[in-house]
Amino acid sequence: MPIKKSLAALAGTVAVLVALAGCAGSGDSPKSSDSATPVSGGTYKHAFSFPGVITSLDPPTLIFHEALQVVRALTDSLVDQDPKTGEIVPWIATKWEVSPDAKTYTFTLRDGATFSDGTPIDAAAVKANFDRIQALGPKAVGAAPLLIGFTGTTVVDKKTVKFEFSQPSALFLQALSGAVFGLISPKDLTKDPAAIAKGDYAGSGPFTLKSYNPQSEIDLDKRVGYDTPSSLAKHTGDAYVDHLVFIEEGTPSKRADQVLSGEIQSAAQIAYQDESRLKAGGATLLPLKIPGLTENLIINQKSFLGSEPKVRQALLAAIDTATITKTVFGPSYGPGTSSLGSNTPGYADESSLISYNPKKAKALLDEAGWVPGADGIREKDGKKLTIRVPGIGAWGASNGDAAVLLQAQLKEVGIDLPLDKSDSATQQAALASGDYDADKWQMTRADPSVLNAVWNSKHTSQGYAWAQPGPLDDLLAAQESEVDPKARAAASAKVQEYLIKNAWSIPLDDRAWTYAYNSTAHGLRADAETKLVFYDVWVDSK
Amino acid sequence: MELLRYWSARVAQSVFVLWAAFTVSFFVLYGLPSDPVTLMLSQGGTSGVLDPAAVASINHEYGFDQPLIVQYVNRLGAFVTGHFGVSIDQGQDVLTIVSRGAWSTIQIALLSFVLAIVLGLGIAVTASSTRMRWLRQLLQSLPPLALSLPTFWLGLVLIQVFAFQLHWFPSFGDKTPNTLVLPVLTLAIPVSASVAQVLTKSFLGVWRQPFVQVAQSKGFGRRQLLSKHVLRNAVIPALTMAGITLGQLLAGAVITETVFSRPGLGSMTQRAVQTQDIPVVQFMVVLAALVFVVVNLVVDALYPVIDPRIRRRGLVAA
Repeated sequence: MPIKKSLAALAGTVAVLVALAGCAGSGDSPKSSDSATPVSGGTYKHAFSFPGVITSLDPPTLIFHEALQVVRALTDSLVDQDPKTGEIVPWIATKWEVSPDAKTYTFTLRDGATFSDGTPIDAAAVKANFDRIQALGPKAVGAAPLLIGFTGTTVVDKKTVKFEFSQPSALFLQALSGAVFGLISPKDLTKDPAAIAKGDYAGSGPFTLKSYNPQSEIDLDKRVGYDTPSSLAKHTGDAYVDHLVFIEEGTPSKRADQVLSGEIQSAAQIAYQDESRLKAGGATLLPLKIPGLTENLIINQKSFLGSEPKVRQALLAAIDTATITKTVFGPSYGPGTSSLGSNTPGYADESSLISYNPKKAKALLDEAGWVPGADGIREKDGKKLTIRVPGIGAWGASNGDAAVLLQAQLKEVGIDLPLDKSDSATQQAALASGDYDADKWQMTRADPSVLNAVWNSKHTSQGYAWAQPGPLDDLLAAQESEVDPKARAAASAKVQEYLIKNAWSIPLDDRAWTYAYNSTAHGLRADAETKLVFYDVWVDSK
Repeated sequence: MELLRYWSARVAQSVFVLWAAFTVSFFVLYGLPSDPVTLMLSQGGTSGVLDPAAVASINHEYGFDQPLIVQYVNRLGAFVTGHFGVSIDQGQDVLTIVSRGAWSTIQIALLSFVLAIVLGLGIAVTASSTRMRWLRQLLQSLPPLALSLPTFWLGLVLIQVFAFQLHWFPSFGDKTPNTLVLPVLTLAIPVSASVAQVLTKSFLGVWRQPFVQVAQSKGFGRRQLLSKHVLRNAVIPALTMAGITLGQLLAGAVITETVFSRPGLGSMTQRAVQTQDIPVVQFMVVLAALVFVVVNLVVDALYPVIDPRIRRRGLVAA
């Protein structure tokens, strides 16, 4: 009897706890618009997962979004990029000239710009920054791929600086808008790299670093006297908030809860399954399409697929990207319609060349001589139709689910896609030696030059296609030497058409990142590469 | 003399344990198939195929290109002289990174330990000295329930109720005192359960001892009995448990700090494992071994203080 009583008491307690936990969240109604007057002061808190992406604050060494976002708040760049149009607009540089052969870039700097330690931003300071990046060599993991052929920086006069390349670099102007090329005071450039990695430098941005704990929190203070906002900024002068805090939170559902409870203002990396309760709780979702190389299967032209055009076409027809994205990633993603993401400058819609048609896929494979074996997988001359994609099963929750769906769709037409779960080192070895059939990859960049990085037959570090010399090289060269945006887009359209027609690229989806913020957060905006910009944010004092 | 010999032997044992922890962890970690340098440079695969020269130069910097046994000797020497290496993930000195998080963990570990003792002792004393059978049954059924709750689940429920719904406490951070409440509760509850179980059994056992009946017949009241006789005798097994309790606290700290986003040794270990940051992981293994070793030595020293019957004569039943 006492046992039964104690059980009943416990059940009651648990029931109360569960009931409390199930109660609806705060009933704040969403603000109807952001036209309210900005309030000065307060602290803005933004949460995301740190491990693996917050490792340093040294701008040219960074490739991850999250770290670049922090550096963006600490530094300014020569130019900015309009997220709506892709147009490059003035920032620290007021005007610029690009030589017709895209090998020489000359910038005029604005008057009176200073770093937070008082040092002026003049041509010498810019040169010092780029000299250092050159000296870093391969350690500048973020900047180096954008500086191929870079020969050096010249101070023309106090306000004019010139960059020169040994080969055309059509991507350079857009690249300069990134936080990767955020400017640091020349006084700090000679510091020990470990110090710079800890953020121990003066930038010219709207915030200065107060404390950096890559384990848990990055604290920024408003920089008093900031007066060099980008031409895209919504206000001028100091930032509104006194403090900007980036908080480590590894659990997606907890990030969503923190936004809902008002403990923080915004969070990144919102999971699909948290979206509806965020909306229900009065938070606003910010799904942003990602420009650049969309998630796609890059065919290794050195592999057997290089000489099997019908198999490649069958792959295109066998994959239903609309179903995969809808099922796994939700409405913020779209089906793959080109090798480039739909909001990339230069994107061309190739969906007329892509249609889900398993019957056609099967017919193509039959024509190519691949006959279904006993287990449903096709064979030809004793070889099974297996597509090896390094690490396709190892990419974490949603991507893992997408891979499973992909495998099922391919199996239906008789293609085997093993869900390779090998570790990073094994994948690297396979990629370095070219021992794979296709690579699943994506890359964020608001510029079509990513296509050149992957498909140029002069093998670059991102040359996962092991492209063979051919007509594609000419198309890519045309794209990379065009400086005029319209002409560049036209050249890029030809590249994309070629890639999809010949099925060298199998688009898998049109990606998006989702952020969420609540009614205490105002003024949040994103740049052209879906990083958040915090200069204009303000907080409702509560 | 005998005491000296005994303690020399104990210290030598402890040093051996530390050496073993270092050696085993070294060969397990450095013999792993994955390659932290590749991991660090490839940063998840998005930067492109690695420049072999870059990989080679960093391998050389870390000494990874030398034969395993040479690396072992070098690292052992470095460890012994206090040089614990550089974190691969964060590029900073391991000691610097660890000392950043140490205080945060010590805070919750100490507070949880105290709370666990108080709760456990409270349950044990009440359960063993009460005459109400229903109360004893209830109190004895609480520890198994607490032990069967996964720590992370408990933490998440506490966060949901007390942070997100009631807004009484924050759900992350370590800067203010009120960030301590929920993590300490989460960590203390399972630990207090083990303490309660052992102590309850022990107390109940001691109450039944003949000397207690003798004392009772002499006229001692229950409270005097408790404080003068029962307590000291019953606590011995709990001292032995100190090691296990510590293990629970360390393991629990990893989970609790991760769930509550507290920057401490536990979440640091979790992140180091996740990013295959071998120097940090190895340091944490040896540190954990050191803590265990020290606690066991202290407990050993306390035994004769609490129970004069225990003498050092070769083997001690522990």
